[in-house]
Amino acid sequence: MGQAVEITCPTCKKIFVVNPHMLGSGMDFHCPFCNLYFPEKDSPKIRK
Amino acid sequence: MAKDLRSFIDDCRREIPNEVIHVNKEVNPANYDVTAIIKHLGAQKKFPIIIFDKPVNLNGRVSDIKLTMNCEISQRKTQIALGLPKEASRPEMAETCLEMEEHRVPPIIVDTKSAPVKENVKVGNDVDLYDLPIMRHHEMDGGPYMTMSTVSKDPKSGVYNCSYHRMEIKSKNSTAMHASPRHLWKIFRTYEDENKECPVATVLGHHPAYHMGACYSGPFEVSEYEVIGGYLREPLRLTPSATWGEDFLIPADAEIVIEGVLVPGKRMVEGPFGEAPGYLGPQRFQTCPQYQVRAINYRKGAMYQSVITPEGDKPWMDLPREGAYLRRCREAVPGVTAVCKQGRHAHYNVFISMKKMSEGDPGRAAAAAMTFDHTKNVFVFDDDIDVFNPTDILWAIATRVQPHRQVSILQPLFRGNLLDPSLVDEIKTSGMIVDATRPLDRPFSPVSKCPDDAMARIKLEEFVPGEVLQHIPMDRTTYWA
Repeated sequence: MGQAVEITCPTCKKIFVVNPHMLGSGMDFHCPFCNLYFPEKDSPKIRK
Repeated sequence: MAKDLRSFIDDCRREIPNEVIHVNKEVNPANYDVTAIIKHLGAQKKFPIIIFDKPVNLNGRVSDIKLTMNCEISQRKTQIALGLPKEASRPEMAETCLEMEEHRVPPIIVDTKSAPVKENVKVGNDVDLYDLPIMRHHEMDGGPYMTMSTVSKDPKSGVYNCSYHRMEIKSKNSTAMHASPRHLWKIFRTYEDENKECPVATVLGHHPAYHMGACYSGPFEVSEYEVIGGYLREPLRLTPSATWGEDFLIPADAEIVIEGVLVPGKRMVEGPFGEAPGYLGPQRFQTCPQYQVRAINYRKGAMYQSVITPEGDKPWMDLPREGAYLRRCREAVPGVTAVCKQGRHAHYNVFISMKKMSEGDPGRAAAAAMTFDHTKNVFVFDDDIDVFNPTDILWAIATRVQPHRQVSILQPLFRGNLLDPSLVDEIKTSGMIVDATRPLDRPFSPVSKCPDDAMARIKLEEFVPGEVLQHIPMDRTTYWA
Protein backbone atom coordinates (compact mmCIF):
# COMPACT_ATOMS: atom_id res chain seq x y z
CA MET A 1 0.00 0.00 0.00
CA GLY A 2 3.03 2.13 0.13
CA GLN A 3 2.07 4.09 -2.90
CA ALA A 4 -1.56 5.06 -3.16
CA VAL A 5 -3.27 6.33 -6.30
CA GLU A 6 -6.48 8.34 -5.96
CA ILE A 7 -9.33 7.29 -8.24
CA THR A 8 -12.47 9.33 -8.76
CA CYS A 9 -15.65 7.32 -9.29
CA PRO A 10 -17.47 8.26 -12.53
CA THR A 11 -20.88 7.89 -10.88
CA CYS A 12 -20.74 9.21 -7.32
CA LYS A 13 -17.59 11.31 -7.90
CA LYS A 14 -16.13 10.19 -4.59
CA ILE A 15 -12.42 9.48 -4.31
CA PHE A 16 -10.86 6.22 -3.13
CA VAL A 17 -7.35 4.77 -3.12
CA VAL A 18 -5.88 1.90 -5.12
CA ASN A 19 -2.46 0.31 -5.39
CA PRO A 20 -0.45 1.56 -8.41
CA HIS A 21 -0.43 -2.01 -9.76
CA MET A 22 -4.12 -1.62 -10.49
CA LEU A 23 -3.29 0.91 -13.22
CA GLY A 24 -3.04 -0.70 -16.62
CA SER A 25 -3.89 -4.12 -15.20
CA GLY A 26 -7.23 -4.45 -16.97
CA MET A 27 -8.97 -5.09 -13.64
CA ASP A 28 -12.03 -2.95 -12.97
CA PHE A 29 -11.91 -0.59 -10.02
CA HIS A 30 -14.55 -1.04 -7.34
CA CYS A 31 -16.03 2.11 -5.83
CA PRO A 32 -16.48 1.45 -2.10
CA PHE A 33 -19.07 4.21 -1.85
CA CYS A 34 -21.58 3.34 -4.59
CA ASN A 35 -20.46 -0.26 -5.32
CA LEU A 36 -19.82 0.47 -9.01
CA TYR A 37 -17.24 -1.60 -10.88
CA PHE A 38 -15.70 0.41 -13.71
CA PRO A 39 -12.71 0.35 -16.05
CA GLU A 40 -9.80 2.72 -15.63
CA LYS A 41 -10.72 4.76 -18.71
CA ASP A 42 -14.07 5.71 -17.13
CA SER A 43 -12.55 7.47 -14.14
CA PRO A 44 -12.80 11.26 -14.59
CA LYS A 45 -9.66 11.81 -12.53
CA ILE A 46 -6.71 9.68 -11.50
CA ARG A 47 -4.17 11.33 -9.20
CA LYS A 48 -0.82 9.57 -8.97
CA MET B 1 -13.90 -28.45 29.91
CA ALA B 2 -11.89 -27.13 26.99
CA LYS B 3 -11.04 -23.43 26.85
CA ASP B 4 -13.11 -21.45 24.41
CA LEU B 5 -14.53 -17.97 23.96
CA ARG B 6 -17.35 -18.71 26.38
CA SER B 7 -15.03 -19.87 29.16
CA PHE B 8 -12.95 -16.72 28.64
CA ILE B 9 -15.98 -14.45 28.89
CA ASP B 10 -17.05 -16.32 32.04
CA ASP B 11 -13.56 -15.74 33.48
CA CYS B 12 -13.86 -12.04 32.67
CA ARG B 13 -17.30 -11.82 34.24
CA ARG B 14 -15.78 -13.21 37.41
CA GLU B 15 -12.56 -11.14 37.42
CA ILE B 16 -13.62 -7.87 35.78
CA PRO B 17 -17.43 -7.91 35.87
CA ASN B 18 -17.74 -4.26 34.84
CA GLU B 19 -15.85 -4.94 31.64
CA VAL B 20 -18.34 -7.34 30.08
CA ILE B 21 -21.41 -5.60 28.76
CA HIS B 22 -24.34 -6.47 26.53
CA VAL B 23 -25.95 -4.16 24.00
CA ASN B 24 -29.53 -5.32 23.66
CA LYS B 25 -30.57 -2.72 21.14
CA GLU B 26 -30.53 -3.67 17.46
CA VAL B 27 -27.35 -2.59 15.63
CA ASN B 28 -26.31 -2.81 12.00
CA PRO B 29 -22.62 -3.76 11.90
CA ALA B 30 -22.48 -3.22 8.14
CA ASN B 31 -23.60 0.39 8.60
CA TYR B 32 -20.78 1.32 11.03
CA ASP B 33 -23.04 1.16 14.13
CA VAL B 34 -20.61 -1.10 15.96
CA THR B 35 -17.56 0.89 14.87
CA ALA B 36 -19.14 4.11 16.15
CA ILE B 37 -20.05 2.58 19.52
CA ILE B 38 -16.52 1.28 20.00
CA LYS B 39 -14.99 4.60 18.90
CA HIS B 40 -17.20 6.55 21.34
CA LEU B 41 -16.18 4.25 24.18
CA GLY B 42 -12.54 4.31 23.13
CA ALA B 43 -12.54 8.12 23.26
CA GLN B 44 -13.28 7.67 26.97
CA LYS B 45 -10.50 5.07 27.25
CA LYS B 46 -13.08 2.35 27.85
CA PHE B 47 -12.69 -0.99 26.13
CA PRO B 48 -15.15 -3.48 27.64
CA ILE B 49 -15.98 -6.76 25.98
CA ILE B 50 -19.21 -5.93 24.17
CA ILE B 51 -21.70 -8.61 23.23
CA PHE B 52 -24.18 -7.27 20.70
CA ASP B 53 -27.28 -9.39 21.21
CA LYS B 54 -29.22 -8.19 18.18
CA PRO B 55 -26.87 -7.49 15.29
CA VAL B 56 -28.34 -7.27 11.83
CA ASN B 57 -26.79 -9.65 9.32
CA LEU B 58 -25.95 -8.92 5.70
CA ASN B 59 -29.38 -10.19 4.68
CA GLY B 60 -30.85 -7.28 6.66
CA ARG B 61 -32.35 -9.47 9.38
CA VAL B 62 -31.54 -9.67 13.08
CA SER B 63 -29.04 -12.50 13.30
CA ASP B 64 -29.28 -15.50 15.59
CA ILE B 65 -25.53 -15.13 15.91
CA LYS B 66 -24.28 -12.54 18.38
CA LEU B 67 -21.38 -10.22 17.68
CA THR B 68 -18.61 -10.05 20.27
CA MET B 69 -16.02 -7.27 20.23
CA ASN B 70 -13.02 -5.99 22.19
CA CYS B 71 -11.80 -9.31 23.61
CA GLU B 72 -8.35 -8.45 22.30
CA ILE B 73 -7.93 -5.07 23.98
CA SER B 74 -6.31 -4.35 27.37
CA GLN B 75 -3.54 -5.93 29.34
CA ARG B 76 -5.84 -7.23 32.07
CA LYS B 77 -7.99 -9.23 29.66
CA THR B 78 -4.87 -10.77 28.19
CA GLN B 79 -3.64 -11.63 31.68
CA ILE B 80 -6.94 -13.39 32.34
CA ALA B 81 -6.66 -15.25 29.04
CA LEU B 82 -3.16 -16.44 29.88
CA GLY B 83 -3.90 -17.20 33.53
CA LEU B 84 -1.54 -14.49 34.79
CA PRO B 85 -1.99 -12.28 37.87
CA LYS B 86 -2.92 -8.64 37.39
CA GLU B 87 0.47 -7.66 38.82
CA ALA B 88 2.27 -9.25 35.86
CA SER B 89 4.20 -6.57 33.99
CA ARG B 90 4.18 -6.31 30.24
CA PRO B 91 7.77 -7.66 29.92
CA GLU B 92 6.80 -10.57 32.20
CA MET B 93 3.81 -11.25 29.96
CA ALA B 94 6.08 -11.31 26.91
CA GLU B 95 8.39 -13.73 28.75
CA THR B 96 5.37 -15.93 29.41
CA CYS B 97 4.49 -15.92 25.72
CA LEU B 98 8.03 -16.95 24.90
CA GLU B 99 7.81 -19.78 27.40
CA MET B 100 4.44 -20.94 26.04
CA GLU B 101 5.75 -20.94 22.48
CA GLU B 102 8.65 -23.11 23.59
CA HIS B 103 6.36 -25.55 25.42
CA ARG B 104 4.15 -26.43 22.52
CA VAL B 105 1.32 -28.87 23.10
CA PRO B 106 0.21 -31.24 20.33
CA PRO B 107 -3.52 -31.06 19.50
CA ILE B 108 -5.95 -33.91 20.04
CA ILE B 109 -8.63 -35.06 17.63
CA VAL B 110 -12.23 -35.47 18.74
CA ASP B 111 -15.06 -36.89 16.69
CA THR B 112 -17.62 -34.53 15.24
CA LYS B 113 -20.24 -35.53 17.81
CA SER B 114 -17.97 -34.22 20.56
CA ALA B 115 -17.22 -30.99 18.70
CA PRO B 116 -19.47 -28.04 19.62
CA VAL B 117 -18.61 -26.29 16.34
CA LYS B 118 -20.37 -29.16 14.55
CA GLU B 119 -23.72 -28.43 16.16
CA ASN B 120 -24.71 -26.70 12.91
CA VAL B 121 -23.09 -27.42 9.56
CA LYS B 122 -24.16 -25.78 6.32
CA VAL B 123 -22.80 -26.94 2.99
CA GLY B 124 -23.52 -26.42 -0.70
CA ASN B 125 -26.39 -24.07 -1.47
CA ASP B 126 -27.12 -23.63 2.23
CA VAL B 127 -23.87 -21.72 2.66
CA ASP B 128 -24.69 -18.04 3.13
CA LEU B 129 -22.12 -15.65 4.56
CA TYR B 130 -24.82 -12.99 4.53
CA ASP B 131 -26.41 -14.74 7.51
CA LEU B 132 -23.46 -13.58 9.63
CA PRO B 133 -23.34 -10.18 11.39
CA ILE B 134 -20.31 -9.09 9.41
CA MET B 135 -19.00 -5.58 9.96
CA ARG B 136 -18.09 -2.78 7.69
CA HIS B 137 -15.26 -1.38 9.81
CA HIS B 138 -14.15 1.96 8.35
CA GLU B 139 -15.24 4.62 5.93
CA MET B 140 -14.00 3.77 2.41
CA ASP B 141 -13.73 0.04 3.19
CA GLY B 142 -14.46 -1.84 -0.02
CA GLY B 143 -17.24 -3.79 1.69
CA PRO B 144 -17.97 -5.86 4.79
CA TYR B 145 -14.85 -7.61 6.06
CA MET B 146 -13.94 -10.62 8.14
CA THR B 147 -10.76 -9.99 10.12
CA MET B 148 -9.98 -13.13 12.09
CA SER B 149 -7.35 -15.79 11.46
CA THR B 150 -7.29 -18.43 8.74
CA VAL B 151 -5.83 -21.94 8.89
CA SER B 152 -3.95 -23.50 5.99
CA LYS B 153 -1.94 -26.71 5.66
CA ASP B 154 1.37 -27.17 3.90
CA PRO B 155 0.80 -29.99 1.37
CA LYS B 156 4.36 -31.27 1.70
CA SER B 157 4.90 -31.38 5.44
CA GLY B 158 1.28 -31.46 6.61
CA VAL B 159 2.05 -28.63 9.02
CA TYR B 160 -0.82 -26.28 9.86
CA ASN B 161 -0.36 -22.52 9.64
CA CYS B 162 -2.62 -19.91 11.23
CA SER B 163 -2.46 -16.27 10.20
CA TYR B 164 -4.54 -13.12 9.97
CA HIS B 165 -5.70 -11.97 6.56
CA ARG B 166 -8.46 -9.52 5.89
CA MET B 167 -11.28 -10.83 3.69
CA GLU B 168 -13.80 -8.75 1.80
CA ILE B 169 -17.20 -10.38 1.35
CA LYS B 170 -17.94 -10.62 -2.36
CA SER B 171 -21.00 -12.88 -2.46
CA LYS B 172 -22.91 -15.25 -0.21
CA ASN B 173 -20.21 -17.88 -0.75
CA SER B 174 -17.05 -16.05 -1.74
CA THR B 175 -14.58 -13.54 -0.39
CA ALA B 176 -11.43 -11.88 -1.66
CA MET B 177 -8.53 -12.59 0.70
CA HIS B 178 -5.64 -10.19 1.06
CA ALA B 179 -2.76 -12.62 1.46
CA SER B 180 0.47 -10.87 2.40
CA PRO B 181 3.62 -12.64 1.21
CA ARG B 182 4.23 -14.86 4.22
CA HIS B 183 3.48 -18.43 5.22
CA LEU B 184 -0.09 -18.75 3.90
CA TRP B 185 0.99 -17.23 0.61
CA LYS B 186 3.81 -19.77 0.33
CA ILE B 187 1.32 -22.58 0.96
CA PHE B 188 -1.20 -21.20 -1.51
CA ARG B 189 1.47 -20.78 -4.18
CA THR B 190 2.56 -24.40 -3.71
CA TYR B 191 -0.99 -25.52 -4.52
CA GLU B 192 -1.36 -22.97 -7.27
CA ASP B 193 1.81 -24.12 -9.02
CA GLU B 194 0.08 -27.49 -9.42
CA ASN B 195 -3.22 -25.84 -10.37
CA LYS B 196 -4.84 -27.22 -7.23
CA GLU B 197 -7.28 -25.61 -4.82
CA CYS B 198 -5.77 -24.64 -1.47
CA PRO B 199 -7.94 -25.75 1.49
CA VAL B 200 -8.43 -23.09 4.17
CA ALA B 201 -10.59 -22.53 7.23
CA THR B 202 -11.33 -19.27 9.01
CA VAL B 203 -11.96 -19.28 12.74
CA LEU B 204 -14.46 -16.61 13.76
CA GLY B 205 -14.49 -16.88 17.52
CA HIS B 206 -12.34 -18.76 20.01
CA HIS B 207 -10.46 -18.26 23.27
CA PRO B 208 -7.98 -15.34 23.09
CA ALA B 209 -5.12 -17.79 23.64
CA TYR B 210 -6.09 -19.37 20.31
CA HIS B 211 -5.89 -15.99 18.60
CA MET B 212 -2.58 -15.18 20.29
CA GLY B 213 -1.11 -18.46 19.10
CA ALA B 214 -2.36 -17.63 15.62
CA CYS B 215 -0.23 -14.45 15.79
CA TYR B 216 2.92 -16.56 16.21
CA SER B 217 5.58 -15.68 13.66
CA GLY B 218 8.14 -18.41 13.90
CA PRO B 219 9.69 -20.94 11.54
CA PHE B 220 7.50 -22.26 8.73
CA GLU B 221 8.00 -25.85 9.87
CA VAL B 222 6.34 -25.32 13.26
CA SER B 223 2.70 -26.44 13.54
CA GLU B 224 0.79 -23.46 14.81
CA TYR B 225 -1.92 -25.72 16.20
CA GLU B 226 0.82 -26.89 18.59
CA VAL B 227 1.81 -23.30 19.36
CA ILE B 228 -1.83 -22.55 20.14
CA GLY B 229 -1.82 -25.54 22.49
CA GLY B 230 1.15 -23.93 24.24
CA TYR B 231 -0.78 -20.70 24.67
CA LEU B 232 -3.88 -22.53 25.86
CA ARG B 233 -1.73 -24.70 28.17
CA GLU B 234 -3.83 -27.62 27.03
CA PRO B 235 -4.21 -29.55 23.78
CA LEU B 236 -6.23 -27.72 21.16
CA ARG B 237 -9.20 -29.93 20.30
CA LEU B 238 -9.54 -30.50 16.58
CA THR B 239 -12.22 -32.20 14.59
CA PRO B 240 -12.61 -33.30 10.96
CA SER B 241 -13.78 -30.60 8.59
CA ALA B 242 -17.02 -30.97 6.66
CA THR B 243 -15.17 -30.62 3.35
CA TRP B 244 -12.02 -32.75 3.73
CA GLY B 245 -12.70 -34.86 6.82
CA GLU B 246 -9.55 -35.87 8.69
CA ASP B 247 -7.34 -34.53 5.92
CA PHE B 248 -8.02 -31.03 7.20
CA LEU B 249 -8.79 -30.54 10.87
CA ILE B 250 -10.55 -27.53 12.34
CA PRO B 251 -10.85 -26.27 15.94
CA ALA B 252 -13.64 -28.19 17.67
CA ASP B 253 -14.42 -25.49 20.25
CA ALA B 254 -14.55 -22.50 17.93
CA GLU B 255 -17.75 -20.51 17.70
CA ILE B 256 -17.82 -20.45 13.90
CA VAL B 257 -15.48 -22.01 11.33
CA ILE B 258 -15.77 -21.25 7.63
CA GLU B 259 -14.25 -23.81 5.27
CA GLY B 260 -13.28 -23.07 1.72
CA VAL B 261 -10.62 -23.06 -0.95
CA LEU B 262 -8.31 -20.45 -2.40
CA VAL B 263 -8.83 -20.81 -6.13
CA PRO B 264 -5.69 -21.18 -8.26
CA GLY B 265 -5.17 -18.57 -10.94
CA LYS B 266 -8.07 -16.42 -9.75
CA ARG B 267 -7.49 -12.96 -8.29
CA MET B 268 -10.14 -10.54 -7.09
CA VAL B 269 -10.19 -6.80 -6.54
CA GLU B 270 -10.19 -6.17 -2.80
CA GLY B 271 -10.07 -3.07 -0.62
CA PRO B 272 -9.58 -0.38 0.42
CA PHE B 273 -9.57 -1.44 4.05
CA GLY B 274 -8.67 0.48 7.20
CA GLU B 275 -5.65 -1.41 8.45
CA ALA B 276 -3.71 -1.94 11.68
CA PRO B 277 -1.33 1.03 11.22
CA GLY B 278 -4.35 3.35 11.12
CA TYR B 279 -4.48 4.06 7.38
CA LEU B 280 -6.57 2.76 4.54
CA GLY B 281 -4.84 0.01 2.63
CA PRO B 282 -5.52 0.73 -1.07
CA GLN B 283 -7.53 -1.50 -3.35
CA ARG B 284 -5.45 -4.25 -4.95
CA PHE B 285 -5.69 -7.66 -6.58
CA GLN B 286 -2.25 -9.20 -7.15
CA THR B 287 -2.09 -11.11 -3.87
CA CYS B 288 -5.83 -11.43 -3.41
CA PRO B 289 -7.06 -14.92 -4.34
CA GLN B 290 -10.71 -15.80 -4.43
CA TYR B 291 -11.83 -17.70 -1.31
CA GLN B 292 -14.75 -19.94 -2.27
CA VAL B 293 -16.69 -20.96 0.80
CA ARG B 294 -17.72 -24.63 0.93
CA ALA B 295 -19.09 -25.02 4.46
CA ILE B 296 -19.98 -23.05 7.58
CA ASN B 297 -19.79 -24.78 10.97
CA TYR B 298 -21.19 -23.03 14.03
CA ARG B 299 -22.26 -23.68 17.59
CA LYS B 300 -25.69 -23.21 19.06
CA GLY B 301 -25.88 -19.61 20.24
CA ALA B 302 -22.71 -18.83 18.30
CA MET B 303 -20.80 -15.60 18.81
CA TYR B 304 -19.11 -14.00 15.82
CA GLN B 305 -15.89 -12.19 16.64
CA SER B 306 -14.22 -9.32 14.86
CA VAL B 307 -11.48 -6.80 15.53
CA ILE B 308 -11.30 -3.10 14.77
CA THR B 309 -7.86 -1.71 14.16
CA PRO B 310 -6.12 0.37 15.36
CA GLU B 311 -8.60 0.95 18.19
CA GLY B 312 -6.99 0.42 21.62
CA ASP B 313 -3.82 -1.44 22.50
CA LYS B 314 -4.06 -5.03 21.42
CA PRO B 315 -1.72 -7.06 23.58
CA TRP B 316 -3.02 -10.33 22.13
CA MET B 317 -1.53 -9.30 18.80
CA ASP B 318 1.65 -7.65 20.08
CA LEU B 319 2.71 -9.96 22.90
CA PRO B 320 3.49 -13.05 20.80
CA ARG B 321 5.77 -10.92 18.67
CA GLU B 322 7.36 -9.26 21.68
CA GLY B 323 8.29 -12.71 22.95
CA ALA B 324 9.86 -13.54 19.59
CA TYR B 325 11.79 -10.25 19.61
CA LEU B 326 13.04 -10.96 23.12
CA ARG B 327 14.34 -14.33 21.97
CA ARG B 328 16.14 -12.89 18.95
CA CYS B 329 17.58 -9.86 20.69
CA ARG B 330 18.81 -11.88 23.64
CA GLU B 331 20.57 -14.27 21.33
CA ALA B 332 22.56 -11.23 20.20
CA VAL B 333 22.84 -9.45 23.57
CA PRO B 334 21.95 -11.35 26.77
CA GLY B 335 21.42 -8.09 28.68
CA VAL B 336 18.22 -7.21 26.81
CA THR B 337 15.56 -6.64 29.48
CA ALA B 338 12.42 -5.75 27.53
CA VAL B 339 11.10 -5.24 24.02
CA CYS B 340 8.05 -3.15 23.24
CA LYS B 341 6.19 -3.54 20.03
CA GLN B 342 2.94 -2.17 21.24
CA GLY B 343 -0.08 -0.81 19.48
CA ARG B 344 -0.52 1.43 16.50
CA HIS B 345 2.62 3.52 16.98
CA ALA B 346 4.88 0.52 17.21
CA HIS B 347 3.75 -1.48 14.22
CA TYR B 348 7.07 -0.68 12.57
CA ASN B 349 8.93 0.62 15.62
CA VAL B 350 10.64 -1.59 18.15
CA PHE B 351 11.79 -0.27 21.51
CA ILE B 352 14.46 -2.27 23.34
CA SER B 353 15.85 -1.78 26.83
CA MET B 354 19.07 -3.41 28.00
CA LYS B 355 21.81 -3.54 30.57
CA LYS B 356 24.59 -2.43 28.26
CA MET B 357 27.82 -4.31 28.96
CA SER B 358 29.82 -3.05 26.01
CA GLU B 359 29.67 -0.35 23.40
CA GLY B 360 28.17 -1.96 20.33
CA ASP B 361 25.62 -3.98 22.29
CA PRO B 362 22.79 -1.68 21.16
CA GLY B 363 23.80 -2.15 17.52
CA ARG B 364 23.82 -5.95 17.86
CA ALA B 365 20.41 -6.03 19.53
CA ALA B 366 19.00 -3.62 16.95
CA ALA B 367 20.38 -5.69 14.10
CA ALA B 368 18.69 -8.79 15.54
CA ALA B 369 15.39 -6.91 15.71
CA MET B 370 15.80 -5.74 12.12
CA THR B 371 15.82 -9.34 10.91
CA PHE B 372 12.28 -10.01 12.10
CA ASP B 373 8.75 -9.18 11.13
CA HIS B 374 8.25 -5.73 9.59
CA THR B 375 10.70 -3.80 11.71
CA LYS B 376 11.67 -0.43 10.27
CA ASN B 377 12.92 1.68 13.18
CA VAL B 378 14.69 0.36 16.26
CA PHE B 379 15.28 2.42 19.39
CA VAL B 380 17.59 1.05 22.07
CA PHE B 381 17.57 2.32 25.66
CA ASP B 382 19.20 1.65 29.01
CA ASP B 383 17.28 -0.50 31.44
CA ASP B 384 16.16 2.49 33.53
CA ILE B 385 13.86 3.46 30.66
CA ASP B 386 10.40 1.92 30.64
CA VAL B 387 9.96 1.10 26.97
CA PHE B 388 6.20 0.94 27.46
CA ASN B 389 6.13 4.58 28.61
CA PRO B 390 6.20 7.09 25.73
CA THR B 391 7.38 9.88 28.04
CA ASP B 392 10.41 7.85 29.13
CA ILE B 393 11.16 7.07 25.49
CA LEU B 394 11.00 10.68 24.33
CA TRP B 395 13.02 11.88 27.33
CA ALA B 396 15.82 9.43 26.61
CA ILE B 397 15.88 10.31 22.91
CA ALA B 398 16.05 13.99 23.82
CA THR B 399 18.78 13.65 26.44
CA ARG B 400 20.92 10.65 25.49
CA VAL B 401 21.17 10.96 21.73
CA GLN B 402 23.55 13.01 19.63
CA PRO B 403 21.97 12.40 16.24
CA HIS B 404 25.17 12.57 14.19
CA ARG B 405 26.70 9.80 16.33
CA GLN B 406 23.77 7.70 17.45
CA VAL B 407 21.26 7.69 14.62
CA SER B 408 22.02 5.27 11.78
CA ILE B 409 20.03 5.32 8.57
CA LEU B 410 19.96 1.96 6.80
CA GLN B 411 19.61 1.59 3.05
CA PRO B 412 16.27 0.25 1.72
CA LEU B 413 17.38 -3.38 1.81
CA PHE B 414 14.55 -4.73 3.90
CA ARG B 415 11.24 -6.26 2.96
CA GLY B 416 8.74 -3.79 4.32
CA ASN B 417 5.08 -4.15 5.02
CA LEU B 418 2.49 -3.56 2.32
CA LEU B 419 0.42 -1.70 4.91
CA ASP B 420 3.11 0.94 5.51
CA PRO B 421 1.84 4.09 3.74
CA SER B 422 5.29 5.67 3.81
CA LEU B 423 6.82 3.14 1.39
CA VAL B 424 8.17 4.68 -1.79
CA ASP B 425 9.30 1.33 -3.17
CA GLU B 426 6.84 -1.41 -3.99
CA ILE B 427 7.85 -3.46 -0.96
CA LYS B 428 11.32 -2.53 0.27
CA THR B 429 11.89 -0.18 3.17
CA SER B 430 14.87 1.63 4.62
CA GLY B 431 15.52 1.51 8.34
CA MET B 432 16.76 3.53 11.27
CA ILE B 433 18.58 2.55 14.43
CA VAL B 434 18.65 5.02 17.30
CA ASP B 435 21.08 4.18 20.08
CA ALA B 436 19.62 6.09 23.03
CA THR B 437 21.84 4.46 25.62
CA ARG B 438 24.35 6.34 27.73
CA PRO B 439 27.98 5.91 26.72
CA LEU B 440 30.21 3.61 28.75
CA ASP B 441 33.46 5.13 27.50
CA ARG B 442 33.04 8.64 28.93
CA PRO B 443 31.39 10.28 31.95
CA PHE B 444 27.69 11.05 31.62
CA SER B 445 25.65 13.16 34.01
CA PRO B 446 23.62 11.06 36.44
CA VAL B 447 19.84 11.25 36.46
CA SER B 448 18.63 13.66 39.13
CA LYS B 449 16.46 12.15 41.82
CA CYS B 450 15.34 12.32 45.42
CA PRO B 451 17.65 10.18 47.57
CA ASP B 452 16.34 6.63 48.04
CA ASP B 453 16.59 6.87 51.84
CA ALA B 454 14.49 10.05 51.85
CA MET B 455 11.83 8.37 49.73
CA ALA B 456 11.78 5.45 52.16
CA ARG B 457 11.81 7.69 55.26
CA ILE B 458 9.07 10.09 54.25
CA LYS B 459 5.62 8.52 54.42
CA LEU B 460 3.33 10.68 52.31
CA GLU B 461 0.23 9.98 54.42
CA GLU B 462 1.93 11.54 57.49
CA PHE B 463 2.16 14.86 55.66
CA VAL B 464 -0.77 14.73 53.25
CA PRO B 465 -3.49 12.70 54.94
CA GLY B 466 -5.44 10.20 52.89
CA GLU B 467 -8.67 12.17 53.21
CA VAL B 468 -6.92 15.18 51.64
CA LEU B 469 -5.06 13.13 49.05
CA GLN B 470 -8.16 11.38 47.76
CA HIS B 471 -9.76 14.71 46.89
CA ILE B 472 -6.82 16.04 44.90
CA PRO B 473 -7.79 15.35 41.30
CA MET B 474 -5.42 13.52 39.03
CA ASP B 475 -4.12 16.13 36.58
CA ARG B 476 -4.80 14.56 33.21
CA THR B 477 -3.45 17.62 31.41
CA THR B 478 0.09 16.90 32.59
CA TYR B 479 0.92 14.64 29.68
CA TRP B 480 4.66 14.86 29.98
CA ALA B 481 5.18 14.11 33.65
